[in-house]
Amino acid sequence: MLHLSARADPAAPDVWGCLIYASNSTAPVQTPGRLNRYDKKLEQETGFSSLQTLGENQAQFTGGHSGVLTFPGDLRIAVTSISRSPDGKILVGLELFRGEKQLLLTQARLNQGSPLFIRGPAWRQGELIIAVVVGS
Amino acid sequence: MKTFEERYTAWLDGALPDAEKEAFEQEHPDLAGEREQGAVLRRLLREHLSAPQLPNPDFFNSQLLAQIEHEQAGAEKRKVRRTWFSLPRLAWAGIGSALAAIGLMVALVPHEQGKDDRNGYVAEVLKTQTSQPGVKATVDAKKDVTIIKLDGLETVPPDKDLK
Repeated sequence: MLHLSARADPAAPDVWGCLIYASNSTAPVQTPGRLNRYDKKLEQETGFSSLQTLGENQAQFTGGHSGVLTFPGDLRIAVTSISRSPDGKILVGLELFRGEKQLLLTQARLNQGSPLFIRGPAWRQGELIIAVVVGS
Repeated sequence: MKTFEERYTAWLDGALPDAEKEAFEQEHPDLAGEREQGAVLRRLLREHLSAPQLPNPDFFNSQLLAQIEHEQAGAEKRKVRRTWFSLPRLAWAGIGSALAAIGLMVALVPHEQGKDDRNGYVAEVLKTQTSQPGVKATVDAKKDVTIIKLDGLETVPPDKDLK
């Protein structure tokens, strides 16, 4: 489900999010194209050999307007702030919710296209990982 | 008072005054033959052991001077070679070594984790905060990947279909 809280602005960066199921099943790795180069790193850091995409979302935001990316499992990412730093990087404020419970509040400085990964709750034989990417 | 040796040597060389010469010959008549023999010996030495006459003394001198100049030039070259490692050269060598070391350090020392601008990946977590009791957030910033790990979250029921 997509929520657009502001008018589309060609100059405003878009925010893309993805929910991944990481486990040690025999299923092959299946992540979106923009995350392919991080597959090996994720496997190394999480200890899981199988990465399956459960859902993707994308939205465009203008400065000062928040937005929400929703995922299966009642998980959602709220983008509370987004702006440019003096060095051209993107400063973003994110909140992770599960239902109405806020699980995480974070602020990060990201390069366009650099994903930030959040290791979420366990599910079945693995765990859920949320990836957030600002810009293309 | 002159010793016998002094008078004898002077008598042989003909350097004694006449009065002293007559007195010495009267005192030592047995030495008359030795003076004759000394004169013969001196003549023989002069004839057979004199320095050879050079047919071209000027050429010899010029060759000698050329040899001296050659040896002096060789000494100068050795002096220049010994100063090859002069202070300016050593200073430049030191500067070059320092620059090489800096270059190696920049190339080989890994950049700060999570901010590898060389590869384009930048994901620096500035702040994390959790409000749920028992939930803890830790940031694992590695090269090319930054992960926020949440410990203490409730497990999603396995029968919940997320696909």
